[in-house]
Amino acid sequence: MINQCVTTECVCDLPGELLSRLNVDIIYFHIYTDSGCFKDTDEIDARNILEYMERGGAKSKSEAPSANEYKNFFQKKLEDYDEVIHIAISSGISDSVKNASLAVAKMGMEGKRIHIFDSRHLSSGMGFLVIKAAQMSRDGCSTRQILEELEHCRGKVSTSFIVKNADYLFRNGKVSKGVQRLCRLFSLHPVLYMKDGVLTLKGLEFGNYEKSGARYVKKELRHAQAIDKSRLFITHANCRLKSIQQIKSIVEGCCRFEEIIVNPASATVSSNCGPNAFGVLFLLKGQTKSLDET
Amino acid sequence: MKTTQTQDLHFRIILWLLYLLANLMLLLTMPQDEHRLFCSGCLLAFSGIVTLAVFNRHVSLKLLSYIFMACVMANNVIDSVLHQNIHYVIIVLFGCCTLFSIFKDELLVLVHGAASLALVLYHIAVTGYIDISVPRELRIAVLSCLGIVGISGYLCGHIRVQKKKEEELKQLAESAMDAERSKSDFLANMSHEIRTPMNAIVGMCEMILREGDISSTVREYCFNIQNSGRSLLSIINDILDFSKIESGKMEFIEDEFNPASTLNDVINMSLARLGDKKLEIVVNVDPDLPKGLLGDEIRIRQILINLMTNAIKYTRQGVVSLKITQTRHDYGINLTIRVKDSGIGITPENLEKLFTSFQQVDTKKNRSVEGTGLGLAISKRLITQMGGFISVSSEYGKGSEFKVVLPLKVSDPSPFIMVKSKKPIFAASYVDLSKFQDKNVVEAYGQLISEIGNQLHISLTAYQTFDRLKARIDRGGLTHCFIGRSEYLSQKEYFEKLAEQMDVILIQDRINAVHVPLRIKCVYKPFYALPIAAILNNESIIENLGEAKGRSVNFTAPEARILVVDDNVINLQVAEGLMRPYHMQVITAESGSEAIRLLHSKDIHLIFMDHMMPEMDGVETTQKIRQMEGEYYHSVPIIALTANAVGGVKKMFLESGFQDFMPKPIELSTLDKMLKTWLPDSLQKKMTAMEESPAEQPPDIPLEEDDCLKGLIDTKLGLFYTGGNTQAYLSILSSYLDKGTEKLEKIRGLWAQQEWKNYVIEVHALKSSSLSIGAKQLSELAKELEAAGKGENYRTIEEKTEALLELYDKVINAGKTYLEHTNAKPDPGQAPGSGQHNDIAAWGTEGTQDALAEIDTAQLAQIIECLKEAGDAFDSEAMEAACEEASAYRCRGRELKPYFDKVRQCIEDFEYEEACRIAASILQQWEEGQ
Repeated sequence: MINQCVTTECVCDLPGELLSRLNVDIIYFHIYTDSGCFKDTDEIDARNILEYMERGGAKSKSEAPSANEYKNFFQKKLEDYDEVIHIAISSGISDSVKNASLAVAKMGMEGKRIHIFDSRHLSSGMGFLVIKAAQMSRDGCSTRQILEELEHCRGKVSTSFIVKNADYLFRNGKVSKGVQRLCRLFSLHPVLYMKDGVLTLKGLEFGNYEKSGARYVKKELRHAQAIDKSRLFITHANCRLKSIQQIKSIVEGCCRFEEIIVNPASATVSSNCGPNAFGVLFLLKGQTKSLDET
Repeated sequence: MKTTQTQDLHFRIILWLLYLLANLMLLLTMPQDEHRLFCSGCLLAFSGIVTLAVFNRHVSLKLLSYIFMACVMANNVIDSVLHQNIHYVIIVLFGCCTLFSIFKDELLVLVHGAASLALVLYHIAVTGYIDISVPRELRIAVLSCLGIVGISGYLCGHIRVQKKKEEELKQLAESAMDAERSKSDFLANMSHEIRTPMNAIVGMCEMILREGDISSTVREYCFNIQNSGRSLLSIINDILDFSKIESGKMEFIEDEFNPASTLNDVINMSLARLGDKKLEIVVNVDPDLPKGLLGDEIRIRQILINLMTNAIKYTRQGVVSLKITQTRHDYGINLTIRVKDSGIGITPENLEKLFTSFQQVDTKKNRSVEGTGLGLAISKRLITQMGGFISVSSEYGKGSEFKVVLPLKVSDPSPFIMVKSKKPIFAASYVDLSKFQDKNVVEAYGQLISEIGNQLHISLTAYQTFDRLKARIDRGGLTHCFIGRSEYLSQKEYFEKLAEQMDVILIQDRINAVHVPLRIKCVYKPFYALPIAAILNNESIIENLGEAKGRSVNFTAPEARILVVDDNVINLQVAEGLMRPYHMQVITAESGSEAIRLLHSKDIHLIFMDHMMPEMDGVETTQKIRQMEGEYYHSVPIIALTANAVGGVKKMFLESGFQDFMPKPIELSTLDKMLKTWLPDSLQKKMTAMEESPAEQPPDIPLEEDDCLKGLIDTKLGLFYTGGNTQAYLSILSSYLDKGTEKLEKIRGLWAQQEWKNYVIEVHALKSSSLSIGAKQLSELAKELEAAGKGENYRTIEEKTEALLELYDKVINAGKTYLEHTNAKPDPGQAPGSGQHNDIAAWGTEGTQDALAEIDTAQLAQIIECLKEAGDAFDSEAMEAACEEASAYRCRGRELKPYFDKVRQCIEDFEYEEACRIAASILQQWEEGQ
């Protein structure tokens, strides 16, 4: 039987404890600041990078691991496993798939044992796929089965976020200055979602951010019957505890989930969407097992 | 803030209403055509939206309102173009005014208002589109003009008021910032002002504690004052740091440092703060950390100490672990420090306010925990300013983990810990982890032991049972065996025998260390890569650090002449006291001008100069010295003494001609470092390992309380009076015991013969000599009898002399038994007047004995003054040194040696007062020209 393992990237925004329980190893993205380069999640977290940016840190750039880093990472895994399934952040928003594929190409024959899967999602959205793959791997499924299931699952993941304003999207070059000013002027809160592997504007909420957030959650969960109730992620960029509790209670008011996991987003995700951004991420029905089974 | 928002909303609503009014006016005057219907619909919808926006008191309909307004304006524009109707143009201009008002630009409003007015007047006067002879058109024109002026005027007025308010707010903010700055400056100044007298308090306590002739109560009080003083100083330092950071005056000094030294300091500080807590400190450090790092070591150490202190403070039992790792980058490394504890943890609510200033979380639960609440706030700011990050994770009731990442440049990339042995090392460790009750301790030690072998690139296998270890040893091939204290004690004989075959290393606790034969090596907890590497390399940890931290003086410099300049006499005494163990010639000056005068002799090797002095301060004095002619004045090292040791001062001092600076209060370790750095090597005389402090003594010289001493002699106290020099203590004890019986009989004889004058002299000598060996009880009794003798209280003498003699006898017997029992023999080289004292004998000599140098009576008086001071401090070594110095000279053509031999004899007999008296009489003889 082929002994395979699942790996992913720190931007999957899954709790560390869950990752170690699932035996999933992660490779770190890099965050560049004025003073140096830091490993996302390991050396710098959402709070750190957001505070740095609010202090007016001139430089803040996130970068996917280089091809060499991927190569070293995979080679280390191949010492213990026959095959590696690596679930990467969407190729539409990052170079990670490109770099990982380059690493695989560099590895020659050895590289054939590495399977790069473009999640076409980010944050806990790709986290769902990681959980799925890890569960299947542990259940003894073949690499092919896992990849097929991931392909099938990919379209069922709902990855969306509401951001307080477009300031951080503008800082990272995602929107123009005009859009940023318009959002500030009219108290607009963009709702972003992953569509075909690309971050797209889903809608706009107006006015008070707390109420806009509540509206966003209700809108996302309005088709309760189509949602898989086993698990929901509330992934946030340094939201205050009180806000998180409010969001959680709104979610509980809309749908009864078996498990609600509140987890801070990685520094990479947070630096792109700014403080107080959050998302409710879930799967559409009939996709995963409960985490209790893990 | 909320008021401003409400005002802003009201302002917008007023604008909409005015705009609505203007449109209604237009509607009323509009010709009956198809546009009227459209405009009516638009205006109706628009007013509805405005109403909704007003009553909801929210701005969510704002966008819709803007869109509708834009529609109405577009319609007006189209109308004005199609029908060339000036009225629509006016409305468009009104709309523009309104729109621009959103951006609150006063000038734009005025320009558009004026343009609108000009346009109306233009159509009246030039084009004649508005015919004022027609009453209806005149009415419209007048109303339009009034409307334009009214709206523009209102807008301008409103904007002006708003701007004024903003200006006021700005001024308020600025004055608040000024107040904040003043507060910070005040705090900084106050802290500085408090630090200076605190230096004196702490320093003088140190001096008192070194004095022999004080009662235990006074000693305890003094110790408490010193401890409280140090606590207060640390709080003041925190406030000073915080105010400096807040006012942006904190500067960081990037200097090369060795992480081993920093780590050693942090561990020592942490161990000192453990107190009686049942806590294990586990240190796990990456041995591949670069040996030379560039950064502000003082601040990094401060951060580490803050985190460790915090962890210890909030953990009652269990473990506090310190883990240091690195990741390499092209600019250097990211140093990651993790401090984890098994303490009370932090609630998620408190985690949010953890790094806020002046805030201690969970105060109800932590009433017993002291502190200003500034530690973490300071640490965070320091880390941030160094370009790093701090984060914390915690589980309430289970513990917390603080993680710090600092980007640092590297000056020497070679590993700071390295096993140098070329032979392969096969080591085994035997520590039964099940003896620890706390699972966190087991986990931390388990992880450490499993990682340490890989870290040091050696083979290290951990065993938890004796049988398994023994089986492995029996198989052969092991080179080293590390064992825990209780494991050693349970199989003592086996391990002592095993030590004949291989290196057996005992992991000792600093407190309750067990005595082991010399062949068994010892490392002290915390057990981590550094001490293990040191053991495997057959070197002491101290050598590995390259510093003498954690022990007392390890060199002397009897020929070195040090000038200390400070306007505060107490500070001078403190400095002198701290330098005494180095046997240097300390000269003091109370002003800059006095210092310059003393420097004319050009024989000073090092100067410590106070920064703040009246008339001529340290900087000015130094600059004057540097301007003096001659190479000596340009090169003599001058160290600044400052109580205001904050970042940035070093640069200032260096630019002013100083070589370095030393913060006050003077720390012995800092002084040691300074002296080592700035005193010429030729003047530094290394002490041998045997001469060094008890902490580094070979284990076959036990100085712990022995049963045979029965509390009669406190060896630790005796050691304290000999400056921590074990051999010197043993030598003094031996001399004391040798002459003990003779002295005892002498006192008995004097008592019997009632020769009270000589009796008092003898018991006085007994008082000081007994105290110097740690026979405190005997010393106290002798003191009482001395006082009784001086007060002619013969009854007390009669009553208590028998008891004194009995106690003296017991002390002598106990001391002799102790020396025999412990086999501790003093090194003959350490006897007073030999060994290092021979070096001291050379102090000040110029030429050989045959050609002794001549000194005048003033110089002789100075030497005798030193001798007296040393006598007052029961410092026999310094007295000997002064004696030797005097013996090396001639005065008025006569050799002084024969006269000072008597003095030396008295010193050897511990008759310090008599020695001083003889010395004084010698001086008198010379002064009288005899």
